[in-house]
Amino acid sequence: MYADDRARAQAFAEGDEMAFVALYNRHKDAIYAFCLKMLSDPQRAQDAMQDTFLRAYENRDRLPQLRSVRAWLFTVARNGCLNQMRKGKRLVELDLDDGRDEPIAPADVPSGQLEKSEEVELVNTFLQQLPPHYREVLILREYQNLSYDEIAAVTRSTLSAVKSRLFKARKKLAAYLEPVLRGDAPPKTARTSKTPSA
Amino acid sequence: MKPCFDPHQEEALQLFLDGELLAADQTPLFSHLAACPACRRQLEAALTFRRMSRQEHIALPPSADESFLQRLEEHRRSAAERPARWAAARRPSLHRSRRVPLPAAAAAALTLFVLGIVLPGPAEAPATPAVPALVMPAETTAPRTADETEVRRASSAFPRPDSMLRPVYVFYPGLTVEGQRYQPVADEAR
Repeated sequence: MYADDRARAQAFAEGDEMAFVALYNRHKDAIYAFCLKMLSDPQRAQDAMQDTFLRAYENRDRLPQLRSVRAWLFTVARNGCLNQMRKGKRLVELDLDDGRDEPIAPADVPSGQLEKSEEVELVNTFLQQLPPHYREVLILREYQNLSYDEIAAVTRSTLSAVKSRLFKARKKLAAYLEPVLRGDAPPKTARTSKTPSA
Repeated sequence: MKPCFDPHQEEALQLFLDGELLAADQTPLFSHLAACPACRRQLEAALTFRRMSRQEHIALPPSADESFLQRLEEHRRSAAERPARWAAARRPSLHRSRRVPLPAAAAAALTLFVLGIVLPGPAEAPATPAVPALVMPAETTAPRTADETEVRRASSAFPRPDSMLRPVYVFYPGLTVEGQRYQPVADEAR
């Protein structure tokens, strides 16, 4: 019915409410997943997702002018998540100097092979420990498959800052997963994949 | 483990992980990986994270759609009411009540009081009655001067008791108004 997001946004701006529903259905899961990974709380993630689409509804005239509706939705969701974190006093300092970040301790993995649920928990625990400015770039890259340019637009930062944060986040990840990679608790297929799937 | 000795290849590894490394730059990277355990470990960690993170299927619960539609409906309703609220907010400032700090209000009252005492009053102030307005029944004799005329209009629509037909007078300093207690239906419609 609609060719792409631009067509949906245009139709919505012209009064087609079904176009808004189409936008919502197309992006709701991705926005929710992003919020969930940022906040680690399903209820707050739902609230942040809903706030995001309410903002989209309010800004119907603006949507057709955007370069990427998807990137804009992530920007709004990201700001909403950071506000929620501030409200929850989970965030002490957003623009923390990268050099002062505390190291993340290696994962405390159970002995034996990790179950799927344990692997998911391991990943989520790591994300919770990661400072928000690293967490957001890692989630946008690894879960949402956004390009560097898109991540820079969403996080209102430069391309080099995105690359730097991603690099540092992955360094922390390597330190965190060290016990798993060393073979203290080998995941089922941890050593099988050798090529990136991105 | 020793850190990587080649920052250029470290960066190339990141680009490779994100699918942004040019094909021509891949061979030097693979050679570097063969010789650098730190980069190999980082590649492995990134791929393990990628595999682990894809184990989890995240989907919005169906109930969230319903609650969103409810919020959207409330939002629409409040948006529809907003222009009326804005219009009310844009009333002339005299009609709006304002909170004034108590010391400021006390100072203003004191100033007015002092000015009232200090400043001389008007030379020939008209005498005003103590009671500003009064509604009196018609039995009271209406004060009337020679230049006043009384206009009465008979209502023939249907008979009414005398008490309803008796006029009322409203006295105000300098003004006398005589009005009917009862307004005929035909006049009301007009």
